[in-house]
Amino acid sequence: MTHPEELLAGYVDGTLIESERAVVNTHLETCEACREEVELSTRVVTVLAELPDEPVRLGLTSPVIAELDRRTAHPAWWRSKLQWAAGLAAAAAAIALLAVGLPHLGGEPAAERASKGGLTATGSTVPGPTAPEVSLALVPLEVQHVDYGDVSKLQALADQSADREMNDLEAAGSPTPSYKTATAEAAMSCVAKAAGDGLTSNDTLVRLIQAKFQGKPAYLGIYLERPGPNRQPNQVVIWVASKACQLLSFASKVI
Amino acid sequence: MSHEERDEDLVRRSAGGDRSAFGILVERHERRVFNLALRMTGREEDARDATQEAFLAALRKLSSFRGEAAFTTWLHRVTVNACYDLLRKRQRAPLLDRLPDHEPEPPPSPDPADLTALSIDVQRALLHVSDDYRAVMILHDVQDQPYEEVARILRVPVGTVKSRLHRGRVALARALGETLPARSAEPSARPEPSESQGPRERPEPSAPSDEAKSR
Repeated sequence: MTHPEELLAGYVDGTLIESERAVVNTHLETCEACREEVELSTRVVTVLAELPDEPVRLGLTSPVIAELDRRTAHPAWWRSKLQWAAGLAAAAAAIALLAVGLPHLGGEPAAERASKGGLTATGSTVPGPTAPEVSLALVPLEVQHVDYGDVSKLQALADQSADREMNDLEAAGSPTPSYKTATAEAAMSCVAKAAGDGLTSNDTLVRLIQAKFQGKPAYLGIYLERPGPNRQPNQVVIWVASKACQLLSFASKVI
Repeated sequence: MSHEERDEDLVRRSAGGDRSAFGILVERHERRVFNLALRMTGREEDARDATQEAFLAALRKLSSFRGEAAFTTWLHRVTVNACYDLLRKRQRAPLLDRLPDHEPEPPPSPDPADLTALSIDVQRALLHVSDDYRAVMILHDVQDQPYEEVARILRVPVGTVKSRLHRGRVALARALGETLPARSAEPSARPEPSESQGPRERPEPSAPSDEAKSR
């Protein structure tokens, strides 16, 4: 016998519409197991509703307030917990947006774009529609309703990037569905394609964001460039790509 | 109330560095968060840890709340997840081998004076129900969250919430055994399950693992 399990809770709660109630009533006429369960549930619901709300003890959230005070007094203190996060934060604080490109930038040679942005291109070019051969760790795709066509928002984004690297309790507990992991890989490829040979295997993707740029949908890839052959010391690079994988903008800062 | 600033506004101000705004958020939600954690874990020290972890996580993640899920939804989710983590980390034998009709146990709450004998029994029995079932019962039956909000908090379909709710209630009833009070005389606003439903014999107490019975 099929039991209308999803309806039984609503039946006990009195939230079913008439037709659903009729289905359950008909079922209960012939199903003793469900009748018994409905009876038990009804009694349990009453008991649960009467559970007292415990008062909180004084000082319950003292550590939270202490942390809040510490951050207020020393906003950058916590950022030093992670080495690279510190670098990213420093970059965010003084980030120089050396180039805010327009959609037409997509037609320029990648190396030229990179040099405009203060990047040190390796010179190895991989022309064509495919993404360059770079080693990138896949990160979740974050969906934001923000337009990063505004320079100050890009800067704020760098702050958030440092934030993300902190111990993420939410992620530890369960996956985060607001992240569209299924499309993260496509977004990552798109950003990589837009960045062209501005990206190398020394670049590590640290955040991937789906947002807007000057009103149009865009992907933002935030990379940390580690020291490597023919490279400057670490720098933060944010690549902004259209959904058609054209470069819209980028920003960089030597750390 | 005119002074009741919306959570979203407080979150925005907090993200902008307004210390007092976050303080208001903590004050506003700490009791509910603490009670959720207390019912989930059954121990005050765990509830305290989970509450602190939830708010610290909120503090770290302030900037990412912009335009996303409601703060309360997120806060409850983080709290439940913190409880899951604590329960996993501190798998305590007493939670696994207690039966409701066994010898008296130290009360799960540190402040038993505030609890009736029944609520102590209920709290103890809740810990015999699987974490997933317990979470939906606490959120819905104890804290009055609608099915849809429970679904958002736990990130499961609404149908799953309803199924878990029903299974959890039955499992809890069986874990409570004889301590489950008989149904009150008046039918309240709820529909009668069936005309043939008289006072029923209480079912045989079954093993706690029965909560996962297949149907």
